[in-house]
Amino acid sequence: MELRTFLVTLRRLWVIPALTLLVALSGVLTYHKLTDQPQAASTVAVLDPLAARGTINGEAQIDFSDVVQSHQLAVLVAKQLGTTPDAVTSKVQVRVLPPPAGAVTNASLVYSVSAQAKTPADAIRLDNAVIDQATKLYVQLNTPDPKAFEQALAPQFTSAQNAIDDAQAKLDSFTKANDAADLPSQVQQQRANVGQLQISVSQAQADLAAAKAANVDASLVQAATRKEASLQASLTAAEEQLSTQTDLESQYQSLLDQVNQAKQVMQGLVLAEQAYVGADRPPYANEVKVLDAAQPQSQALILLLTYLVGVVLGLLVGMSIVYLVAVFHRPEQTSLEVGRAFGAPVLVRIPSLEA
Amino acid sequence: MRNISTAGHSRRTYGDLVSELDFLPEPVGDSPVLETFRLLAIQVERMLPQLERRSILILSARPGEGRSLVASGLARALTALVAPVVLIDADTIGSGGARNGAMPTWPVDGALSHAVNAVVSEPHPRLAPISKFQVAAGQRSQLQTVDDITRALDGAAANGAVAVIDTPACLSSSLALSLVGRVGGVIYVARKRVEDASTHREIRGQLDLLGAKVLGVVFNEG
Repeated sequence: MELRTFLVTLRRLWVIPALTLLVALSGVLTYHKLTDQPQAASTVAVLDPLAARGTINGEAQIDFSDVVQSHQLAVLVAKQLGTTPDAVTSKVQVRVLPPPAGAVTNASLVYSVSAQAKTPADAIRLDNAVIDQATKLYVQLNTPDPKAFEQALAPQFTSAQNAIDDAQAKLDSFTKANDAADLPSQVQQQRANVGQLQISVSQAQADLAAAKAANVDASLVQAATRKEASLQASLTAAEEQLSTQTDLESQYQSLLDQVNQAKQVMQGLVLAEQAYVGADRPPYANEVKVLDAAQPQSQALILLLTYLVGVVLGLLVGMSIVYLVAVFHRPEQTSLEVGRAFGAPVLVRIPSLEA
Repeated sequence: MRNISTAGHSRRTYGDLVSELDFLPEPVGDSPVLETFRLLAIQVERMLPQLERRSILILSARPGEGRSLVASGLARALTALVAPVVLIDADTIGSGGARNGAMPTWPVDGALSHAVNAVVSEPHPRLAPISKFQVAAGQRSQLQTVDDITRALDGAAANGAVAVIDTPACLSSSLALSLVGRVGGVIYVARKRVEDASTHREIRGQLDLLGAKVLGVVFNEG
């Protein structure tokens, strides 16, 4: 179909696009009459986005937008303002504002929280209440609870403590039965004794040999002989005791290792608890900052856009109808149209005999 | 035959009306159709001195536009103004006159055929006020048909006659377009119907390319 045909049809049926445009604008007007309410919005920054970072142990954190949209928050706000949770939920919206161009990778998340009410003052009051309660709830939900941690890990703590007690009991029993308290020290001391005795025996043997060579009094030789025999006996006894202690040392060390391992498990649990609590980090309450307090929002842009959409849709529908009419209900050509298209004057028109 | 019933009148056709054109001693003026052809004849008669040849080609885009009606009506009406007139029926495809009564059932003029066959060396001194030359149908090539029409045109010119040529529709045959360089002017016929204007523009473009002298449009509201 030629554009001229469409334009001719449009000129003939211009009332159709006009009507559809009118209907569309009326629809937009009605929509705004029924739904428009004053709106207030505030901006909140969560300085350290836990949702993105997570914790050391990797457990999930509750995002601020989830908190704002939760029923729990609606209950708290409704209680504060004396309304119903459903009325709060349907009037509050939250969205994450896009970071500006060139922002650092770990930039804090910024949320826009908006609220609608019958009057601008009510909207501001509702928005402020939402921000206040959401901040408290966010901190409450995300702050670590050591008691809850211990309660959650109580079986592990108990098991670790039992392992320590059991290993320690075996070690104590072993040391008591074998008189092996601080066995490594005993072994070290015994080795020193044995070494000292070996030196003494060598000295006694040297003295005895010197006495025999000097042909001294027989009583002196006998005394030297007795001394050497006594030291030798002491050395033998000391070596036997050292051998006994050395044999016990490996078993003692094994029991001691079990005790240490059990204590390490307990230590790991304690470290995990300390990390969860995060004693070296700032308080969670400091992470939520209100950048812009609640203030009324202009609806001009929304109004303009919706009316623009209405105009476009109305004209589009109207033009489509005209186009369909032009396609499926084309009028017969006239002499004027033929003359114009052919580029020549119409000499005569032969009238119909039926006229 | 296409019979039309009008209040207070007997059932007549376009062919009947055209047949009355030059047999009435005085113009009646009570038939819009007859007055239309008289007006068309006056316009053509005024244009004839400006044309290189005294011949008018009637063409249209599609069959059923009314070419035969216009050709015969114009020929009849011209008889009163610039006789003799030769009507050349070259519409071997449409033959609208025979089917719908648009073309009067005139006998083929023997004198014209004789003049055509004798070429132009011996102009016939007594050509009838209106004659009809029927192009032979059948298994003839377009070149042969064009040659026949050319000889008929030459014969008409030799006898000082104005020739009106009825041709097949342009979208059915290229005969009309192949003749536009051999005639003085072209009249385009269009009927009141749902039609795309681009068709008219395309045909006008073809005519301009072929150097046709376009006289105007006859719009058939019947």
